[in-house]
Amino acid sequence: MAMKIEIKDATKYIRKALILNHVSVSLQSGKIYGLQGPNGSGKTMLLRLISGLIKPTSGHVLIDDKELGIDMDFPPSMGILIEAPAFIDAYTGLRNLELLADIKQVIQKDQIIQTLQKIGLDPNDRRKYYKYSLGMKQRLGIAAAIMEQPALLLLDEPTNALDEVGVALICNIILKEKERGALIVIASHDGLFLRSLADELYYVTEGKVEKRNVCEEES
Amino acid sequence: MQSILRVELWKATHNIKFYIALTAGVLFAVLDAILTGNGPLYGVCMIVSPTNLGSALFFFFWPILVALPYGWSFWKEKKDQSYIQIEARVCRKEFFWAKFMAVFISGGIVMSIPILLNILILALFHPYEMPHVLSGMNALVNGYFLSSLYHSNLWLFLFIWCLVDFLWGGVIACFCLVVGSKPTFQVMVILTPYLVLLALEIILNTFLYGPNFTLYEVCPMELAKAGTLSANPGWIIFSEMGLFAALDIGLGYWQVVKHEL
Repeated sequence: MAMKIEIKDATKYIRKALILNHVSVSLQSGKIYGLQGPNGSGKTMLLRLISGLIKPTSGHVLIDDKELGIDMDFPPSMGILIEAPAFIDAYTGLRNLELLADIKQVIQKDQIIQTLQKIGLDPNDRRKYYKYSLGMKQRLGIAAAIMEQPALLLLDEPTNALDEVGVALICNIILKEKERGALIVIASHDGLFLRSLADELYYVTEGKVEKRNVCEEES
Repeated sequence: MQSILRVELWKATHNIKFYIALTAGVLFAVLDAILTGNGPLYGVCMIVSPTNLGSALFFFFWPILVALPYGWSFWKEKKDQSYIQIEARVCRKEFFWAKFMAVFISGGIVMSIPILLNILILALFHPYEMPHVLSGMNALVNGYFLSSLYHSNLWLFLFIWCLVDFLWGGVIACFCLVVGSKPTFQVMVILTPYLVLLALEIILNTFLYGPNFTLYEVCPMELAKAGTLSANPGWIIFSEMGLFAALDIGLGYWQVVKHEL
């Protein structure tokens, strides 16, 4: 379950544009890391780098001392919500999660149902995904990320489209995931939300990542 | 690999576009069976004698029919980012091979089921006779793929051709993976194999064939028929199929696995 991620001097260019600029960060299990910064600062790209969706132009990403992109394609136990959640329009929320769970086959249907209930969605809802509201889609995206109890949880703007009750519910779920021992990285432009959860806060601007003290931020 | 393949196959065969393509193919095959004239089975089934509206529609639009069920899936998953959820659970190579096989099988089903159905319907109403080499109806003479089997074991000939068309359907459906997520609209992904085969047909007919002279049939769109105007030897059929398969795997692999998603 314990996981250690080290990003060593990672730089990423996409079509000659500098997206990540010599990023070095160390992350470990049982903590919540917040990535704060304005739109387009590189928060999502940093999450994509950690998830193995993109490779650094230079530098390394090590997961438990194994290099991502060389020793492994993606972190072995990962839940992810990046950008807007997307599922198959023609299926119900439950069926979409069943299909995803079928790939790894580490959880059963009753655990998927429990996750849906935990996130505030009705497992018996027969509505297709395309009829879901934005908030329901976001909840389903978070359910997909957490249902297999991953060691690494990457959440990009998890409070998007959620009402106050939804945000409180998500905060509660994220804290429970932390108690379970997951390594959680949250990217958000909402400083207040991040400060309420994060053990360590990083400020991302123009591809540079700078560590901030959470207490200083609060003061 | 098995689990992601099962999931991809389920998605490929449980979507509205698969049902539409299969229904259209079956309608064309039934239309051919209704419009076909009298004669023994060996001379009327659409794979050997594509001479009426039903078979003309089927063999003109088959590249669209095979791409429609699931050829668009990688494009869609890339555009709406839903591939992220899959890639968090399975490596890209497995994802590519599962996607490739699901697209291949869905295309193969949509291509071969209508042809098989057409044979079975016609077998109910037309006499089963062995074609005689001197008969005026038999179009398949020496040089055609499996022509000796056509004259000795018609049922085996027809079923092997269903299998050949299954492979054609699969190979051409997978051509959608070659363009990856580059097209702006989904319809362009679905039309890609059709436009490529149509362009090849025009180019080959314009430049390769002399006036009134066609030694071999080389247009891939025509090679899905057993009864072509010119001879269709197996080496041409399988060389072209192999070439398309190599393109599908090579360029598709680059789009899905090597190209940064």
